[in-house]
Amino acid sequence: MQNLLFRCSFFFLAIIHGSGCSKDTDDADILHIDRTFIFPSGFPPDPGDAGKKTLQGIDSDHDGVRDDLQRWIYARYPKDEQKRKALSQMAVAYQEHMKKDLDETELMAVVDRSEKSIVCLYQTFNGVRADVECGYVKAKAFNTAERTKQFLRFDARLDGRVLESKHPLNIAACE
Amino acid sequence: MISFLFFCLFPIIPGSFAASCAGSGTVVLFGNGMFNSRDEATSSKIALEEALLPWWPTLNSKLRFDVSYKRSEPLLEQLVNVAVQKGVSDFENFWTWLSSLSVAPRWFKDAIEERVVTLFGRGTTFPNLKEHFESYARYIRTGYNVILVSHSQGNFYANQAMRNLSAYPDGSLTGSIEKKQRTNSLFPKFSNLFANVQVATPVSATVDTSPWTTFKDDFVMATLRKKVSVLPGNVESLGIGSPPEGDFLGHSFTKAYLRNAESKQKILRDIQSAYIKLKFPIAYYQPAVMLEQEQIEVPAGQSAELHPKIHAIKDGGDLQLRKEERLPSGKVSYKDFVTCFELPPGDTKITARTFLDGPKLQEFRLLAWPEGKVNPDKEKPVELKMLVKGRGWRTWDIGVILAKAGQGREPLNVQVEAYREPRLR
Repeated sequence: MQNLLFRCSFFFLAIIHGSGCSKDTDDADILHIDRTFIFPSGFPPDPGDAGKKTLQGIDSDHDGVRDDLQRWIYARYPKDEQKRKALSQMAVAYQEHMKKDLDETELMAVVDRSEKSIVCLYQTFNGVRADVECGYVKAKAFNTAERTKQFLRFDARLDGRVLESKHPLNIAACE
Repeated sequence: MISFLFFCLFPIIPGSFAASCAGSGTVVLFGNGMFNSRDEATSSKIALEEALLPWWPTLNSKLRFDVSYKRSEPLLEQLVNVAVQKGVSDFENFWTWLSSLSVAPRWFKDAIEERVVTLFGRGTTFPNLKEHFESYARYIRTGYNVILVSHSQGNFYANQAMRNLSAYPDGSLTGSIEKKQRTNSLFPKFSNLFANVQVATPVSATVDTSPWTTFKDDFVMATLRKKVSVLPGNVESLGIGSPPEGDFLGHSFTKAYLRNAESKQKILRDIQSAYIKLKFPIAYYQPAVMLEQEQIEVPAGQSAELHPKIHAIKDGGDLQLRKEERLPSGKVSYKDFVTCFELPPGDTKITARTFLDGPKLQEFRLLAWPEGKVNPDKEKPVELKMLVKGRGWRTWDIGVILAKAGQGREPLNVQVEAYREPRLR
Protein backbone atom coordinates (compact mmCIF):
# COMPACT_ATOMS: atom_id res chain seq x y z
CA MET A 1 0.00 0.00 0.00
CA GLN A 2 2.79 2.39 0.96
CA ASN A 3 4.64 1.48 -2.18
CA LEU A 4 1.56 2.17 -4.23
CA LEU A 5 1.11 5.55 -2.59
CA PHE A 6 4.71 6.33 -3.24
CA ARG A 7 4.34 5.48 -6.92
CA CYS A 8 1.19 7.56 -7.07
CA SER A 9 3.13 10.47 -5.64
CA PHE A 10 5.70 10.12 -8.36
CA PHE A 11 2.97 9.90 -10.94
CA PHE A 12 1.43 13.07 -9.63
CA LEU A 13 4.78 14.79 -9.59
CA ALA A 14 5.37 13.72 -13.14
CA ILE A 15 2.05 15.24 -14.11
CA ILE A 16 3.01 18.51 -12.49
CA HIS A 17 6.37 18.46 -14.19
CA GLY A 18 5.03 17.73 -17.60
CA SER A 19 2.00 19.92 -17.44
CA GLY A 20 3.57 23.29 -18.12
CA CYS A 21 0.50 24.59 -16.38
CA SER A 22 -0.25 28.25 -16.20
CA LYS A 23 0.76 28.49 -12.52
CA ASP A 24 4.33 27.45 -13.40
CA THR A 25 4.45 29.85 -16.28
CA ASP A 26 3.09 32.60 -14.10
CA ASP A 27 5.67 31.83 -11.50
CA ALA A 28 8.57 32.09 -13.96
CA ASP A 29 7.13 35.36 -15.16
CA ILE A 30 6.88 36.66 -11.63
CA LEU A 31 10.59 36.18 -11.02
CA HIS A 32 11.49 38.04 -14.21
CA ILE A 33 8.61 40.47 -14.32
CA ASP A 34 10.95 43.46 -14.21
CA ARG A 35 12.67 42.50 -17.47
CA THR A 36 9.86 43.69 -19.68
CA PHE A 37 8.28 46.27 -17.41
CA ILE A 38 8.33 49.91 -18.43
CA PHE A 39 9.51 51.90 -15.42
CA PRO A 40 8.75 55.55 -14.71
CA SER A 41 11.47 57.98 -15.67
CA GLY A 42 14.16 58.48 -13.07
CA PHE A 43 13.94 54.88 -11.86
CA PRO A 44 17.35 53.26 -11.23
CA PRO A 45 18.56 51.34 -14.29
CA ASP A 46 18.92 47.57 -14.30
CA PRO A 47 22.30 46.91 -12.71
CA GLY A 48 22.68 43.70 -14.75
CA ASP A 49 25.61 41.43 -13.94
CA ALA A 50 27.44 44.32 -12.27
CA GLY A 51 24.77 44.19 -9.57
CA LYS A 52 25.72 40.61 -8.76
CA LYS A 53 29.44 41.10 -8.31
CA THR A 54 29.36 41.98 -4.61
CA LEU A 55 27.28 40.78 -1.69
CA GLN A 56 25.81 44.25 -1.23
CA GLY A 57 25.03 44.87 -4.90
CA ILE A 58 24.24 48.32 -6.27
CA ASP A 59 21.89 50.84 -4.70
CA SER A 60 22.39 53.83 -6.98
CA ASP A 61 19.63 55.98 -5.48
CA HIS A 62 20.64 55.13 -1.91
CA ASP A 63 17.11 54.30 -0.80
CA GLY A 64 18.36 51.28 1.13
CA VAL A 65 17.07 48.72 -1.36
CA ARG A 66 19.32 47.16 -4.01
CA ASP A 67 18.43 48.45 -7.48
CA ASP A 68 17.58 45.01 -8.86
CA LEU A 69 15.27 44.33 -5.91
CA GLN A 70 13.76 47.79 -6.10
CA ARG A 71 12.94 47.30 -9.79
CA TRP A 72 11.49 43.83 -9.25
CA ILE A 73 9.32 44.97 -6.35
CA TYR A 74 7.95 47.93 -8.34
CA ALA A 75 7.21 45.73 -11.32
CA ARG A 76 5.58 43.12 -9.09
CA TYR A 77 2.98 45.48 -7.66
CA PRO A 78 3.08 48.72 -9.67
CA LYS A 79 -0.35 49.80 -8.44
CA ASP A 80 -0.18 48.74 -4.81
CA GLU A 81 2.10 50.84 -2.63
CA GLN A 82 1.27 48.95 0.57
CA LYS A 83 2.41 45.65 -0.91
CA ARG A 84 5.54 47.26 -2.36
CA LYS A 85 6.39 48.65 1.06
CA ALA A 86 5.95 45.25 2.69
CA LEU A 87 8.19 43.59 0.10
CA SER A 88 10.77 46.37 0.40
CA GLN A 89 10.85 45.97 4.19
CA MET A 90 11.51 42.27 3.71
CA ALA A 91 14.16 42.98 1.07
CA VAL A 92 16.03 45.34 3.38
CA ALA A 93 15.90 42.74 6.15
CA TYR A 94 17.34 40.12 3.82
CA GLN A 95 20.05 42.51 2.61
CA GLU A 96 21.19 42.91 6.19
CA HIS A 97 22.05 39.22 6.21
CA MET A 98 24.90 40.11 3.85
CA LYS A 99 26.80 41.98 6.56
CA LYS A 100 29.77 40.01 7.78
CA ASP A 101 31.32 39.81 11.25
CA LEU A 102 28.22 40.93 13.12
CA ASP A 103 28.51 40.83 16.88
CA GLU A 104 25.78 39.13 18.90
CA THR A 105 23.73 42.30 19.37
CA GLU A 106 23.91 43.15 15.67
CA LEU A 107 23.05 39.57 14.73
CA MET A 108 19.93 39.54 16.87
CA ALA A 109 18.94 42.98 15.57
CA VAL A 110 18.89 41.50 12.07
CA VAL A 111 16.87 38.51 13.32
CA ASP A 112 14.44 40.90 14.98
CA ARG A 113 14.06 43.01 11.85
CA SER A 114 13.61 39.90 9.78
CA GLU A 115 10.83 38.59 12.03
CA LYS A 116 9.11 41.97 11.99
CA SER A 117 9.25 42.02 8.18
CA ILE A 118 7.76 38.53 7.91
CA VAL A 119 4.96 39.52 10.28
CA CYS A 120 4.39 42.58 8.07
CA LEU A 121 4.06 40.27 5.05
CA TYR A 122 1.43 38.21 6.90
CA GLN A 123 -0.40 41.42 7.77
CA THR A 124 -0.30 42.54 4.14
CA PHE A 125 -0.99 39.29 2.28
CA ASN A 126 -3.42 36.56 3.18
CA GLY A 127 -2.36 33.18 4.54
CA VAL A 128 0.01 31.10 2.45
CA ARG A 129 0.43 34.00 0.02
CA ALA A 130 2.62 35.75 2.61
CA ASP A 131 4.89 32.72 2.69
CA VAL A 132 4.98 32.71 -1.11
CA GLU A 133 5.84 36.41 -1.37
CA CYS A 134 8.52 35.95 1.27
CA GLY A 135 9.97 33.15 -0.86
CA TYR A 136 10.08 35.35 -3.95
CA VAL A 137 11.88 38.17 -2.16
CA LYS A 138 14.32 35.68 -0.73
CA ALA A 139 15.02 34.17 -4.16
CA LYS A 140 15.66 37.64 -5.55
CA ALA A 141 17.74 38.75 -2.55
CA PHE A 142 20.05 35.72 -2.51
CA ASN A 143 20.32 35.35 -6.27
CA THR A 144 24.00 34.38 -6.46
CA ALA A 145 26.00 31.51 -4.97
CA GLU A 146 28.00 33.96 -2.83
CA ARG A 147 24.90 35.66 -1.44
CA THR A 148 23.34 32.27 -0.75
CA LYS A 149 26.46 31.06 1.06
CA GLN A 150 26.64 34.26 3.13
CA PHE A 151 22.97 33.86 4.07
CA LEU A 152 23.64 30.29 5.18
CA ARG A 153 26.67 31.40 7.24
CA PHE A 154 24.40 33.88 8.99
CA ASP A 155 21.75 31.24 9.47
CA ALA A 156 24.21 28.72 10.91
CA ARG A 157 24.95 31.10 13.80
CA LEU A 158 21.35 30.66 14.96
CA ASP A 159 21.53 26.88 15.00
CA GLY A 160 20.23 25.37 18.20
CA ARG A 161 18.64 28.53 19.57
CA VAL A 162 15.15 29.18 20.78
CA LEU A 163 14.14 32.49 19.22
CA GLU A 164 11.67 34.42 21.31
CA SER A 165 9.16 36.40 19.34
CA LYS A 166 9.10 40.16 19.70
CA HIS A 167 6.42 40.76 17.11
CA PRO A 168 3.02 39.18 17.76
CA LEU A 169 0.79 38.98 14.73
CA ASN A 170 -1.83 41.30 16.22
CA ILE A 171 0.53 44.27 16.51
CA ALA A 172 1.25 46.32 13.39
CA ALA A 173 4.69 45.43 12.04
CA CYS A 174 4.86 47.31 8.75
CA GLU A 175 7.17 50.31 8.87
CA MET B 1 -14.32 28.73 52.24
CA ILE B 2 -10.93 29.89 53.37
CA SER B 3 -11.67 33.35 52.05
CA PHE B 4 -14.90 33.42 54.02
CA LEU B 5 -13.17 32.33 57.22
CA PHE B 6 -10.51 34.89 56.62
CA PHE B 7 -13.00 37.70 56.41
CA CYS B 8 -14.66 36.39 59.58
CA LEU B 9 -11.36 36.57 61.38
CA PHE B 10 -10.55 40.08 60.17
CA PRO B 11 -13.92 41.60 59.45
CA ILE B 12 -13.30 45.24 60.14
CA ILE B 13 -9.89 45.82 58.70
CA PRO B 14 -9.94 47.21 55.20
CA GLY B 15 -7.29 45.66 53.02
CA SER B 16 -6.19 44.57 49.63
CA PHE B 17 -7.00 40.99 48.79
CA ALA B 18 -5.25 39.88 45.63
CA ALA B 19 -4.30 36.61 43.99
CA SER B 20 -0.70 36.00 43.11
CA CYS B 21 1.41 33.14 41.75
CA ALA B 22 -0.77 32.69 38.66
CA GLY B 23 0.83 30.93 35.69
CA SER B 24 2.58 33.13 33.13
CA GLY B 25 0.94 31.55 30.08
CA THR B 26 1.53 29.08 27.28
CA VAL B 27 4.37 29.06 24.79
CA VAL B 28 3.59 27.50 21.44
CA LEU B 29 6.97 26.60 20.00
CA PHE B 30 7.51 25.75 16.37
CA GLY B 31 10.30 23.18 15.93
CA ASN B 32 11.46 23.28 12.33
CA GLY B 33 12.34 20.49 9.97
CA MET B 34 15.25 19.85 7.64
CA PHE B 35 16.13 22.24 4.80
CA ASN B 36 14.44 25.03 6.75
CA SER B 37 16.35 28.23 7.34
CA ARG B 38 15.51 30.38 10.32
CA ASP B 39 13.33 32.81 8.35
CA GLU B 40 11.26 29.91 6.99
CA ALA B 41 10.86 28.54 10.51
CA THR B 42 9.72 32.00 11.58
CA SER B 43 7.25 32.15 8.71
CA SER B 44 5.87 28.74 9.73
CA LYS B 45 5.51 29.93 13.30
CA ILE B 46 3.59 33.03 12.19
CA ALA B 47 1.43 30.93 9.85
CA LEU B 48 0.54 28.73 12.81
CA GLU B 49 -0.32 31.77 14.90
CA GLU B 50 -2.44 33.11 12.04
CA ALA B 51 -4.27 29.78 11.75
CA LEU B 52 -4.82 29.12 15.45
CA LEU B 53 -6.07 32.44 16.82
CA PRO B 54 -9.14 32.94 14.58
CA TRP B 55 -9.93 29.21 14.75
CA TRP B 56 -10.08 29.37 18.55
CA PRO B 57 -11.29 32.88 19.38
CA THR B 58 -11.97 32.11 23.04
CA LEU B 59 -8.36 31.11 23.65
CA ASN B 60 -7.00 33.37 26.32
CA SER B 61 -4.40 35.95 25.48
CA LYS B 62 -1.60 34.56 27.66
CA LEU B 63 -0.19 32.82 24.64
CA ARG B 64 3.10 33.38 22.85
CA PHE B 65 4.63 31.86 19.76
CA ASP B 66 8.39 31.24 19.54
CA VAL B 67 10.73 29.25 17.31
CA SER B 68 12.90 26.35 18.39
CA TYR B 69 15.47 26.43 15.62
CA LYS B 70 17.79 23.57 14.74
CA ARG B 71 19.96 22.68 11.79
CA SER B 72 21.39 19.24 12.42
CA GLU B 73 23.92 19.32 9.62
CA PRO B 74 24.93 21.72 6.84
CA LEU B 75 22.33 20.20 4.53
CA LEU B 76 21.55 23.46 2.81
CA GLU B 77 25.24 24.08 2.19
CA GLN B 78 25.49 20.61 0.66
CA LEU B 79 22.57 21.38 -1.64
CA VAL B 80 24.26 24.64 -2.68
CA ASN B 81 27.39 22.67 -3.61
CA VAL B 82 25.35 20.19 -5.62
CA ALA B 83 23.69 23.09 -7.44
CA VAL B 84 27.07 24.70 -8.21
CA GLN B 85 28.37 21.38 -9.52
CA LYS B 86 25.30 21.13 -11.73
CA GLY B 87 26.18 24.48 -13.25
CA VAL B 88 23.48 26.53 -11.55
CA SER B 89 24.53 30.17 -11.59
CA ASP B 90 21.14 31.79 -11.17
CA PHE B 91 20.37 31.09 -7.53
CA GLU B 92 16.90 32.52 -7.82
CA ASN B 93 16.03 29.06 -9.11
CA PHE B 94 17.71 27.32 -6.21
CA TRP B 95 15.53 29.15 -3.73
CA THR B 96 12.31 28.77 -5.70
CA TRP B 97 12.93 25.02 -5.97
CA LEU B 98 13.70 24.74 -2.29
CA SER B 99 10.63 26.77 -1.30
CA SER B 100 8.42 24.93 -3.76
CA LEU B 101 7.71 28.14 -5.63
CA SER B 102 8.52 26.30 -8.82
CA VAL B 103 8.97 22.64 -9.66
CA ALA B 104 12.52 21.45 -9.09
CA PRO B 105 14.47 19.40 -11.62
CA ARG B 106 14.87 15.69 -11.01
CA TRP B 107 18.50 15.97 -9.83
CA PHE B 108 17.50 18.49 -7.17
CA LYS B 109 14.82 16.19 -5.76
CA ASP B 110 17.26 13.27 -5.91
CA ALA B 111 19.76 15.29 -3.87
CA ILE B 112 17.07 16.02 -1.27
CA GLU B 113 15.98 12.38 -1.19
CA GLU B 114 19.56 11.16 -0.75
CA ARG B 115 20.09 13.45 2.22
CA VAL B 116 16.76 12.60 3.82
CA VAL B 117 17.55 8.90 3.71
CA THR B 118 21.14 9.37 4.91
CA LEU B 119 20.28 11.66 7.77
CA PHE B 120 17.18 9.93 9.09
CA GLY B 121 18.58 6.47 8.51
CA ARG B 122 21.60 7.23 10.66
CA GLY B 123 19.80 7.34 13.96
CA THR B 124 17.09 9.00 15.91
CA THR B 125 19.03 10.84 18.58
CA PHE B 126 20.92 14.02 17.88
CA PRO B 127 23.56 15.84 19.92
CA ASN B 128 23.73 19.52 20.80
CA LEU B 129 20.22 20.07 22.07
CA LYS B 130 21.52 21.72 25.24
CA GLU B 131 20.41 25.22 24.25
CA HIS B 132 16.91 23.97 23.51
CA PHE B 133 16.71 22.15 26.82
CA GLU B 134 17.95 25.23 28.66
CA SER B 135 15.31 27.39 26.98
CA TYR B 136 12.51 24.91 27.67
CA ALA B 137 13.57 24.68 31.31
CA ARG B 138 13.64 28.49 31.51
CA TYR B 139 10.07 28.71 30.20
CA ILE B 140 8.91 26.32 32.90
CA ARG B 141 10.97 28.03 35.58
CA THR B 142 9.28 31.32 34.69
CA GLY B 143 5.75 29.94 34.86
CA TYR B 144 5.01 28.97 31.25
CA ASN B 145 3.83 25.61 30.02
CA VAL B 146 4.96 24.57 26.55
CA ILE B 147 3.35 23.09 23.45
CA LEU B 148 6.06 22.08 20.99
CA VAL B 149 4.66 21.81 17.47
CA SER B 150 7.40 19.94 15.66
CA HIS B 151 7.73 19.39 11.96
CA SER B 152 9.72 16.78 10.04
CA GLN B 153 13.19 16.35 11.55
CA GLY B 154 12.13 18.56 14.46
CA ASN B 155 10.11 15.57 15.66
CA PHE B 156 13.29 13.68 16.55
CA TYR B 157 14.37 16.60 18.73
CA ALA B 158 10.88 16.77 20.20
CA ASN B 159 11.02 13.09 21.16
CA GLN B 160 14.35 13.69 22.87
CA ALA B 161 12.85 16.56 24.84
CA MET B 162 9.82 14.48 25.77
CA ARG B 163 12.06 11.67 27.02
CA ASN B 164 14.84 13.60 28.75
CA LEU B 165 13.75 17.11 29.69
CA SER B 166 12.02 16.08 32.91
CA ALA B 167 15.28 14.86 34.45
CA TYR B 168 17.47 17.55 32.88
CA PRO B 169 19.33 19.59 35.53
CA ASP B 170 19.42 22.94 33.78
CA GLY B 171 22.08 25.58 34.22
CA SER B 172 20.06 27.67 36.67
CA LEU B 173 20.91 25.18 39.45
CA THR B 174 17.26 25.19 40.51
CA GLY B 175 17.02 21.48 39.83
CA SER B 176 15.29 19.43 37.18
CA ILE B 177 11.54 19.35 36.76
CA GLU B 178 11.48 15.98 38.55
CA LYS B 179 13.40 17.47 41.44
CA LYS B 180 11.07 20.47 41.60
CA GLN B 181 8.17 18.05 41.82
CA ARG B 182 9.85 16.16 44.64
CA THR B 183 10.53 19.43 46.48
CA ASN B 184 7.03 20.83 46.04
CA SER B 185 4.19 18.31 45.90
CA LEU B 186 1.92 20.83 44.14
CA PHE B 187 4.35 21.25 41.24
CA PRO B 188 2.76 19.53 38.21
CA LYS B 189 4.41 16.52 36.65
CA PHE B 190 6.25 16.92 33.35
CA SER B 191 3.45 15.52 31.20
CA ASN B 192 1.19 18.30 32.50
CA LEU B 193 3.73 21.00 31.64
CA PHE B 194 5.10 20.08 28.24
CA ALA B 195 3.22 18.68 25.25
CA ASN B 196 4.24 17.75 21.76
CA VAL B 197 2.19 17.89 18.57
CA GLN B 198 4.00 16.24 15.67
CA VAL B 199 3.56 17.08 12.00
CA ALA B 200 5.04 15.16 9.05
CA THR B 201 6.85 12.93 11.44
CA PRO B 202 9.70 10.55 10.61
CA VAL B 203 9.71 8.92 14.05
CA SER B 204 8.64 5.34 14.62
CA ALA B 205 6.71 6.28 17.77
CA THR B 206 5.81 9.45 19.62
CA VAL B 207 6.37 9.80 23.36
CA ASP B 208 3.54 9.86 25.89
CA THR B 209 0.93 9.28 23.15
CA SER B 210 1.66 12.63 21.52
CA PRO B 211 -0.57 13.09 18.47
CA TRP B 212 0.80 13.32 14.93
CA THR B 213 -0.39 14.39 11.50
CA THR B 214 1.19 13.00 8.33
CA PHE B 215 -0.13 12.95 4.78
CA LYS B 216 -0.20 9.57 3.16
CA ASP B 217 1.30 11.21 0.07
CA ASP B 218 4.02 13.17 1.89
CA PHE B 219 6.90 12.51 -0.51
CA VAL B 220 9.66 12.92 2.09
CA MET B 221 7.98 10.58 4.55
CA ALA B 222 7.13 8.07 1.82
CA THR B 223 10.76 8.07 0.71
CA LEU B 224 11.93 7.50 4.23
CA ARG B 225 9.32 4.87 4.97
CA LYS B 226 10.93 2.66 2.33
CA LYS B 227 14.14 2.56 4.38
CA VAL B 228 13.24 2.83 8.04
CA SER B 229 10.31 2.41 10.38
CA VAL B 230 8.16 5.55 10.32
CA LEU B 231 4.70 6.23 11.72
CA PRO B 232 2.05 5.75 9.04
CA GLY B 233 0.29 8.58 7.28
CA ASN B 234 -3.04 9.41 8.90
CA VAL B 235 -4.44 12.12 6.61
CA GLU B 236 -6.30 10.83 3.60
CA SER B 237 -6.55 13.95 1.49
CA LEU B 238 -3.71 14.99 -0.80
CA GLY B 239 -0.86 17.00 0.64
CA ILE B 240 0.91 17.41 -2.66
CA GLY B 241 -0.01 20.57 -4.50
CA SER B 242 1.07 22.82 -7.31
CA PRO B 243 3.63 25.52 -6.71
CA PRO B 244 3.79 28.31 -5.79
CA GLU B 245 1.05 28.03 -3.15
CA GLY B 246 1.16 24.25 -2.93
CA ASP B 247 4.12 22.02 -2.15
CA PHE B 248 5.20 19.56 -4.82
CA LEU B 249 6.60 17.32 -2.06
CA GLY B 250 3.48 17.47 0.13
CA HIS B 251 5.76 18.07 3.09
CA SER B 252 5.91 21.81 3.78
CA PHE B 253 4.37 22.95 7.06
CA THR B 254 2.74 26.03 5.57
CA LYS B 255 2.12 25.03 1.96
CA ALA B 256 0.94 21.49 2.64
CA TYR B 257 -0.07 20.89 6.26
CA LEU B 258 -1.62 24.27 7.06
CA ARG B 259 -3.02 24.69 3.56
CA ASN B 260 -4.97 21.44 3.48
CA ALA B 261 -8.21 21.77 5.47
CA GLU B 262 -8.15 18.23 6.91
CA SER B 263 -4.57 18.35 8.19
CA LYS B 264 -4.96 21.93 9.42
CA GLN B 265 -8.05 20.99 11.44
CA LYS B 266 -6.27 18.03 12.97
CA ILE B 267 -3.18 20.03 13.93
CA LEU B 268 -5.25 22.81 15.50
CA ARG B 269 -7.41 20.30 17.39
CA ASP B 270 -4.27 18.55 18.65
CA ILE B 271 -2.91 21.87 19.92
CA GLN B 272 -6.24 22.62 21.55
CA SER B 273 -6.26 19.24 23.33
CA ALA B 274 -2.70 19.79 24.53
CA TYR B 275 -3.57 23.27 25.76
CA ILE B 276 -6.53 21.97 27.75
CA LYS B 277 -4.47 19.15 29.26
CA LEU B 278 -1.60 21.34 30.45
CA LYS B 279 -1.28 23.01 33.82
CA PHE B 280 0.95 25.94 34.68
CA PRO B 281 4.19 25.38 36.52
CA ILE B 282 4.82 27.22 39.77
CA ALA B 283 7.28 29.92 38.80
CA TYR B 284 10.52 29.35 40.62
CA TYR B 285 11.64 32.90 41.34
CA GLN B 286 8.28 34.67 41.24
CA PRO B 287 7.51 36.51 44.49
CA ALA B 288 4.20 35.61 46.12
CA VAL B 289 4.17 38.98 47.85
CA MET B 290 6.65 41.83 47.88
CA LEU B 291 7.26 44.25 50.74
CA GLU B 292 9.18 47.30 49.64
CA GLN B 293 10.67 50.04 51.77
CA GLU B 294 13.03 52.88 51.22
CA GLN B 295 15.68 53.95 53.66
CA ILE B 296 13.90 55.63 56.58
CA GLU B 297 14.20 59.37 56.93
CA VAL B 298 15.03 60.08 60.53
CA PRO B 299 15.15 63.50 62.23
CA ALA B 300 18.42 64.54 63.85
CA GLY B 301 18.98 62.92 67.22
CA GLN B 302 16.65 60.04 66.45
CA SER B 303 17.24 56.49 65.20
CA ALA B 304 14.69 54.11 63.67
CA GLU B 305 14.56 50.63 62.14
CA LEU B 306 11.87 48.72 60.22
CA HIS B 307 12.05 44.94 59.77
CA PRO B 308 9.27 43.28 57.75
CA LYS B 309 8.85 39.58 58.41
CA ILE B 310 7.12 36.93 56.30
CA HIS B 311 6.73 33.97 58.64
CA ALA B 312 7.45 31.27 56.09
CA ILE B 313 9.60 28.48 57.44
CA LYS B 314 10.34 25.12 55.94
CA ASP B 315 12.54 22.38 57.39
CA GLY B 316 13.72 24.89 59.97
CA GLY B 317 14.87 27.33 57.31
CA ASP B 318 13.64 30.89 56.86
CA LEU B 319 12.25 31.31 53.33
CA GLN B 320 12.20 35.09 53.32
CA LEU B 321 14.51 36.66 50.74
CA ARG B 322 15.75 40.24 50.44
CA LYS B 323 16.92 42.31 47.50
CA GLU B 324 18.67 45.63 47.91
CA GLU B 325 18.69 48.26 45.21
CA ARG B 326 20.28 51.69 45.10
CA LEU B 327 17.80 54.19 43.67
CA PRO B 328 18.71 57.17 41.43
CA SER B 329 18.10 59.40 44.47
CA GLY B 330 20.98 57.65 46.23
CA LYS B 331 18.67 56.01 48.75
CA VAL B 332 18.59 52.26 49.21
CA SER B 333 15.41 50.30 48.54
CA TYR B 334 14.80 46.97 50.30
CA LYS B 335 12.50 44.31 48.89
CA ASP B 336 11.46 41.40 51.10
CA PHE B 337 9.59 38.47 49.60
CA VAL B 338 8.90 34.74 49.54
CA THR B 339 8.73 32.93 46.22
CA CYS B 340 5.63 31.11 45.02
CA PHE B 341 7.65 27.93 44.67
CA GLU B 342 8.87 27.99 48.27
CA LEU B 343 5.64 29.18 49.86
CA PRO B 344 4.35 26.60 52.34
CA PRO B 345 0.66 25.61 52.19
CA GLY B 346 -1.67 27.17 54.75
CA ASP B 347 -1.61 30.63 56.34
CA THR B 348 1.58 32.64 56.46
CA LYS B 349 1.51 35.75 58.61
CA ILE B 350 3.25 38.94 57.61
CA THR B 351 4.44 41.21 60.40
CA ALA B 352 6.78 44.12 60.86
CA ARG B 353 8.94 45.14 63.80
CA THR B 354 9.71 48.79 64.34
CA PHE B 355 12.34 50.28 66.59
CA LEU B 356 12.51 53.89 67.64
CA ASP B 357 14.96 55.74 69.80
CA GLY B 358 14.17 59.44 69.98
CA PRO B 359 11.65 61.99 71.16
CA LYS B 360 9.79 62.77 67.92
CA LEU B 361 6.88 61.09 66.15
CA GLN B 362 8.27 58.69 63.53
CA GLU B 363 6.50 57.45 60.41
CA PHE B 364 7.40 54.00 59.07
CA ARG B 365 6.25 53.29 55.50
CA LEU B 366 6.02 50.04 53.58
CA LEU B 367 4.67 49.34 50.12
CA ALA B 368 3.05 45.92 49.97
CA TRP B 369 2.60 44.35 46.53
CA PRO B 370 0.01 41.59 47.08
CA GLU B 371 0.58 40.22 43.55
CA GLY B 372 4.35 40.11 43.96
CA LYS B 373 5.25 43.14 41.80
CA VAL B 374 5.63 40.78 38.85
CA ASN B 375 4.05 43.34 36.56
CA PRO B 376 4.34 46.69 38.33
CA ASP B 377 2.54 48.56 35.53
CA LYS B 378 -0.62 46.56 36.11
CA GLU B 379 -0.46 45.93 39.83
CA LYS B 380 -1.32 48.36 42.59
CA PRO B 381 0.65 48.37 45.81
CA VAL B 382 -0.89 49.01 49.22
CA GLU B 383 0.78 51.74 51.24
CA LEU B 384 1.16 50.75 54.89
CA LYS B 385 1.93 53.46 57.45
CA MET B 386 2.90 52.96 61.06
CA LEU B 387 3.16 56.01 63.32
CA VAL B 388 5.28 55.54 66.40
CA LYS B 389 6.18 57.76 69.31
CA GLY B 390 8.27 56.65 72.22
CA ARG B 391 11.33 54.49 72.55
CA GLY B 392 11.32 50.74 71.99
CA TRP B 393 10.49 47.80 69.74
CA ARG B 394 6.94 47.22 68.49
CA THR B 395 5.40 44.39 66.46
CA TRP B 396 2.68 44.98 63.85
CA ASP B 397 0.42 42.59 61.99
CA ILE B 398 0.48 43.82 58.40
CA GLY B 399 -1.04 40.99 56.36
CA VAL B 400 -1.46 37.33 55.65
CA ILE B 401 -0.82 34.92 52.78
CA LEU B 402 -3.19 32.01 52.17
CA ALA B 403 -1.81 29.17 50.07
CA LYS B 404 -3.57 25.97 49.03
CA ALA B 405 -3.79 23.58 46.11
CA GLY B 406 -5.24 25.27 43.06
CA GLN B 407 -7.94 24.21 40.67
CA GLY B 408 -7.97 23.77 36.92
CA ARG B 409 -4.75 24.89 35.27
CA GLU B 410 -3.34 26.57 38.37
CA PRO B 411 -1.55 24.15 40.71
CA LEU B 412 -1.40 26.71 43.49
CA ASN B 413 -3.98 29.13 44.81
CA VAL B 414 -2.42 32.02 46.68
CA GLN B 415 -4.29 34.98 48.08
CA VAL B 416 -2.64 37.83 49.86
CA GLU B 417 -4.16 40.48 52.07
CA ALA B 418 -2.19 43.52 53.12
CA TYR B 419 -3.85 45.52 55.89
CA ARG B 420 -4.15 49.15 55.05
CA GLU B 421 -4.05 49.87 58.78
CA PRO B 422 -1.43 47.69 60.42
CA ARG B 423 -2.42 46.43 63.86
CA LEU B 424 -0.12 47.03 66.75
CA ARG B 425 0.21 43.94 68.87
